[in-house]
Amino acid sequence: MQKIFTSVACNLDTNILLAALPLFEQDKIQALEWSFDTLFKYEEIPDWFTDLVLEFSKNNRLIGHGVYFSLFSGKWLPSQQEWLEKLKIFTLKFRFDHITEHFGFMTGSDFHKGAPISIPFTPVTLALGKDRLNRIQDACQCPVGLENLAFSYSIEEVRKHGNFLDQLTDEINGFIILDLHNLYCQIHNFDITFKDIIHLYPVEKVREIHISGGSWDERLIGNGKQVRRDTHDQAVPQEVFELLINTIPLCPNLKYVVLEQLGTALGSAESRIMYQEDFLRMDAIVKGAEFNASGHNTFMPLYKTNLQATPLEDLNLYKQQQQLSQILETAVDLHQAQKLLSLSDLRNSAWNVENWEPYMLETAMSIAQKWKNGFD
Amino acid sequence: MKISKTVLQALAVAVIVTSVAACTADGVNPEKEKTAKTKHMDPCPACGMG
Repeated sequence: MQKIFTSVACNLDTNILLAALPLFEQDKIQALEWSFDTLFKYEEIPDWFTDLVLEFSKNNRLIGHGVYFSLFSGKWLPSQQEWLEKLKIFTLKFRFDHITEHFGFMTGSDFHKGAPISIPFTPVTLALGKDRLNRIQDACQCPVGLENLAFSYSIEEVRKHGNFLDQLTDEINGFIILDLHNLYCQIHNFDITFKDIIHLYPVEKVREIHISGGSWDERLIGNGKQVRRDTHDQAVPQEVFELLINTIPLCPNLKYVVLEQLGTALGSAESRIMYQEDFLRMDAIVKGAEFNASGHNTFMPLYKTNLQATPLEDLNLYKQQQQLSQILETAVDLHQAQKLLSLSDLRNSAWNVENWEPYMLETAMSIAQKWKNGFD
Repeated sequence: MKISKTVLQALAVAVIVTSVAACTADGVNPEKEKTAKTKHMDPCPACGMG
């Protein structure tokens, strides 16, 4: 019977490693999620970190989580090709049980700047996403999955996200990471219930669940509540633990439940203790869950896809993404952002900018401006 | 999952030395030569770009 492995998102980060060390020492961590593409600042990986990753790799308990591929960039970027080449090299040294990436395109001016923002759900973006996922699968030769995005511009987008993820992953028999804090953001920001939103997702494709904390933005949504953001800088809220309890029984192919938190939020002894408590609570929920492992999907491709020599591109989409990134990163207020959007190529297009919730446009501006210089 | 003692010990030494180095870099200990020789690890973005 399939077991669920409780895991942590663990990278070459002092604070995360300090927080996770007691859990490693007590044999509590059953798998490791590693963002293998975040090592771009390092000339070499320290041996002790490689050895830690190899321990999980040897036991087939290592999963890779990409950050910077920018799946839906309208233009195929040299950095994406380089990302694939590096992934191929990593897979020679480490055995990944699966590889995942984020939904959306990166707003930044170069490969390691910006944040993932959503795209229109159209046949063009669907084809683009499928082509890119095929290339990732071809590079890693293991199951490939995609994570749901926290951010949405409108309730219509929220309602379509699960189905779009389903279509994107069909061709490679891929899977979904269901990030429950991302789901919590959408439940809160768009006043939708868990029952209504969860059925919009292909739960049989959920192989991995993420839980994390976030923060409240100063902006208010229509009903006077504050906007919830997926900032990973706080402990896991009670509501997300409840979502975990309710979601596990719905996912017959679930294999990993991962705790994520940013190292910058784990600088104090108190925050590290809270992190360890969150992990142990997550572990207890998983162990006590009514989990019926009736799914038998290996999530390996069911047939071989012949990749085209040239990756798909849509330069019109790329131009729109460039314009949107520029507006989000530089607009001084909502009014200016709305005005600039109404003068841009996004006007009266599949982006549907006319229906974007003003408070979510402001949130997108905050996200893009926060990350425009990368993780400095 | 059980991790070998050697790996755990190396990990413990590395992160504790690095956290001490981070403190010295903040000015708690002015032994500049020592900090210069120790590799400082940066926070990693991973997800959380919300």
